[in-house]
Amino acid sequence: MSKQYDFSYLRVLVVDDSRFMTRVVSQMLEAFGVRNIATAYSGYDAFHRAKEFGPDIVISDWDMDGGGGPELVSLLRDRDESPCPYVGIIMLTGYAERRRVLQARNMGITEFLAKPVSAKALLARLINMVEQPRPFIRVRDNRYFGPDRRRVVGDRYKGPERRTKYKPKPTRVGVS
Amino acid sequence: MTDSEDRKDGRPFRRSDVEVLMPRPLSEKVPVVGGIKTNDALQRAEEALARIADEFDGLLAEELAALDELMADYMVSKSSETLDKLFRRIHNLRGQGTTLGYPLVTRIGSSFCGYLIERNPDRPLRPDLVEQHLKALHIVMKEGKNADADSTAHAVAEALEQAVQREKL
Repeated sequence: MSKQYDFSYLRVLVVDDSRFMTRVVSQMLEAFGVRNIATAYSGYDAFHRAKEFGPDIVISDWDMDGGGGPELVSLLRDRDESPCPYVGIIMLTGYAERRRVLQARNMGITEFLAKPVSAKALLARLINMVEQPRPFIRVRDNRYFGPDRRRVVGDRYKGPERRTKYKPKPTRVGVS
Repeated sequence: MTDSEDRKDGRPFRRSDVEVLMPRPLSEKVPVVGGIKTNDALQRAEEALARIADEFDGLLAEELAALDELMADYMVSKSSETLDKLFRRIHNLRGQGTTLGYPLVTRIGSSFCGYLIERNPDRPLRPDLVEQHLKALHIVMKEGKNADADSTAHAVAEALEQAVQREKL
């Protein structure tokens, strides 16, 4: 039997300097069953909104006046006063070049979604975030903090397993 | 993907530098029963998009009016600030076009953004090419949702893409 995801408890913050686009994304989320949706129109605006709203997921545009997506990711992940450093972040952008994807990944986003966005692609990202939670990695000296960037469990390597005994044990943290 | 791309500052990570943390999974807030079937969710989303798409006609008209003003300003001032404003507005439109039933808006917008971002820096910016993209967007607005079936509109988009391609060389 196929799963019937109940997104009604999720809190999603949608950030885009185009008010029309925030409506488009919000309407899709409502259709998926998300009930708690907040909007913001710049990265800095979103950071303050996140403090009150406490999102589980942030869906942000990349390029915005008043602080863009990269600034927002940096604020949410790295600032001491961030209300939600572990929040899932979907970067929604018309820039789909490989360079941008890598940049976003290295900033600590959770998912990347290229515009024009489709309902199918957005739902797939939400389900992936639920079904495939990734540990967070903190590298000393603020060199990286964000979801583990290694997604693929390779099965092509046929040599001896040398990593297992060094595998760090995840620490469970009580924040979402 | 190479290892060096994983490392912002190029220095290799030592295992002792890395802490692994497991945040509370979203699955705790998203039961997989009692919600909506995936196909039903998608159908509802498509219906919602169709309703919003009707409003996109009006938005496109407003945006084009604003773009015309910026273009008129740019033709006189040649200001990079004005060009940046043009870019941002068209960039937003291209992100919305296909989602809301206007794939040609996305196509022409992508051509415009590609021109501004990827053109050969040794070539001067061609205001006429910038203006032609705006005129093409006006054609799409005039045709409405039928524009995608209009061979002339496609021919215009293709001609713009080819012109932009030449400017990248």
